[in-house]
Amino acid sequence: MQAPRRSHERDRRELEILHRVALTLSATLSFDDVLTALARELVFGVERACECAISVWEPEHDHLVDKAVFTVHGTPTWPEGPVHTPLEEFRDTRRMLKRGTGYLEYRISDPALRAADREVLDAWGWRSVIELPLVVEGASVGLIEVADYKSARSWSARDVAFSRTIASQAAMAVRNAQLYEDLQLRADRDSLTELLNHRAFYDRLEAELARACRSGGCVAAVVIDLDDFKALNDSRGHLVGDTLLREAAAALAATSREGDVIGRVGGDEFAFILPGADAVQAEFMVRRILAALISGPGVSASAGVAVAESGEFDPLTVMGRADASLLAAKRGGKRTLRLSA
Amino acid sequence: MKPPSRQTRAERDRRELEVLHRLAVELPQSLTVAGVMDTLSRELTHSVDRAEECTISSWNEQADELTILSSYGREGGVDPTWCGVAYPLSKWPRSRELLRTGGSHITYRINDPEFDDTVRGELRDWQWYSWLALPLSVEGRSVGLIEVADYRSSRAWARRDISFCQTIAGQAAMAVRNAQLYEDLARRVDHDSLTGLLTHGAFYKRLGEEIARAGRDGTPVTLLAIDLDDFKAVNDRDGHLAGDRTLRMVADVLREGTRVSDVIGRLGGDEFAVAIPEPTVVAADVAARINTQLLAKVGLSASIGVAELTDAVGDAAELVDRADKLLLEVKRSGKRGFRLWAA
Repeated sequence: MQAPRRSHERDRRELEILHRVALTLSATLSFDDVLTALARELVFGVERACECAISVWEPEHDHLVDKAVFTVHGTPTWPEGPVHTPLEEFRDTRRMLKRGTGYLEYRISDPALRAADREVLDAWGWRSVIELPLVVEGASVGLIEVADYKSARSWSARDVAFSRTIASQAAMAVRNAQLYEDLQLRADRDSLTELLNHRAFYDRLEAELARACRSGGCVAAVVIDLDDFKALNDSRGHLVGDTLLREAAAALAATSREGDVIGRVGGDEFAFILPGADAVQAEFMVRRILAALISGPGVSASAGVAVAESGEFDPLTVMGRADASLLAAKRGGKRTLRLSA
Repeated sequence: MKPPSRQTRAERDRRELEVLHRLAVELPQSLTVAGVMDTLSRELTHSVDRAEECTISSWNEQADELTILSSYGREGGVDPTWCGVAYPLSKWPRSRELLRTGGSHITYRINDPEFDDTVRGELRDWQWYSWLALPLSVEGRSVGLIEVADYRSSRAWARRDISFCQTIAGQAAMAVRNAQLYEDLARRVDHDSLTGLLTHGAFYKRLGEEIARAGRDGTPVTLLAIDLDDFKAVNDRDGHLAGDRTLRMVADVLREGTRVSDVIGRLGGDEFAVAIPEPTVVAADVAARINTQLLAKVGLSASIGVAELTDAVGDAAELVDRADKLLLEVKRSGKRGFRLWAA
């Protein structure tokens, strides 16, 4: 009688864990949060697990990008920036991800362990680890590693099966988070040029102004208007116009520095946020931008610049000033730029 | 009655946990509120003892009414005829109170003295002899009402069944919230942030659907390609902020001058399009009206090309192209007005 009751108990405990996992994971629509929650649940749910690391598979680059890690001691400090692991050295892992089924096991005590795998185990302090694909709607989206710090013995079939079951609970939450984040990207982007759209640009400007107020720095806003675009659109049709807008957007994106924000705020109107730029720097940037538009898609443009004074919070006022200086520039002949301090 | 043995209680615990787990896995399958509601009403009907039907409604506090989102019967499954039916809460003051106070639940029985004969007759038609009502709460706020009905007797509900329903409702909250967030965001993606009209991509998609529908039912589709005259001058004279205000006013004129069944999009800076499920003659009236209203309310005129779907036009892009060409002709011959496509 003893044995079956224990297995009954274990079934129940597992069901409780699975239930909690399904609930916890569906509590968020953020991709990173779902993966972190999954790593945590695997550490708590799988008997021998001391650490769980989850990375996202990018097959087009043939590498893994580390996304979440959880250890029995909590979330460890994470290195700066994304960590990429090329799959060249790890063919078995790559094959498993392509198939979307099965699992791999590595043990430090295994004499046949390859040098590359041993290096990984040593680096993380893992004595034994299992790898499983994270599968969403039939295809692998990432890799799950469940590791044991203490023992190098083989994982039981039950541990492996239970890890897989927990991972499968995550599938819907991962899919939902992916869909939501894709949609979020689209909600902020202009569909033609993929630059920020009107609303997203103004939201960002408001945020940058608030940040500048806190840090005491300055922010420049730039409005750029393509010269005679309307005439081109009317004479040669919208498809030609659309192509030019895409080329102009690409040229603008290519000139921007890290931290600069670019938006398409109207039909042929683009705008920049230059965080930290004063009037001199902004003018330098705008000259570069106007030159890039001429050398790239071959269009001339006019620009207006406004540098936000510290304490200025309202994006509409700042953009209004940039706009006014743009108008002055246009009146003084196109292909120019005007500054307003 | 003999209390249940420990074995059967453990069995029941386990069964409930299985239901809860299945629900936790199934609810997130859908990211639409309607889909989540159908799952929830189905699961409640099948897993609550003696439940024959479950109906879930959304609560509109201002209008003081409930609108049915999903109704599921043990026999007939999802009943789509009830979906969207609204009913006033004035008839159900206890339900209103429950939603307002965010209480845990209430129970109704057909014999309750609060019901007059008309209501009782209605309840008998539905076979609602006894039912349990609980609020559907998302982040602490009542957003709807869940009702689980027993068709057979006007009995009292067991405490255990009530608390099981509450647990299920609580578990559903997350899926409902996620679906709401997703649908809100999807709406935002499809609508231009400045004017609230459909974006380029969303407009083409809707136009494709209209064309497919026209192919099935043989109804017409006419497209208006609208381009504001000299909008650029407004922008250059008064600035972009003034231009933005003008575009919003134009969008209002388009919305007011068309019907709900018409599809309106902003295709570019000052280019708009309207798809109308009517033949050219009717669409021409709309075009004329739009121009009059634009002049009166915004002080701008527009050039409009009007093209109707024919067998010769294959898809949305061709229809837009044809209307666009007419629009350019209007521009070239002095703007302000519209030109129809003659087959």
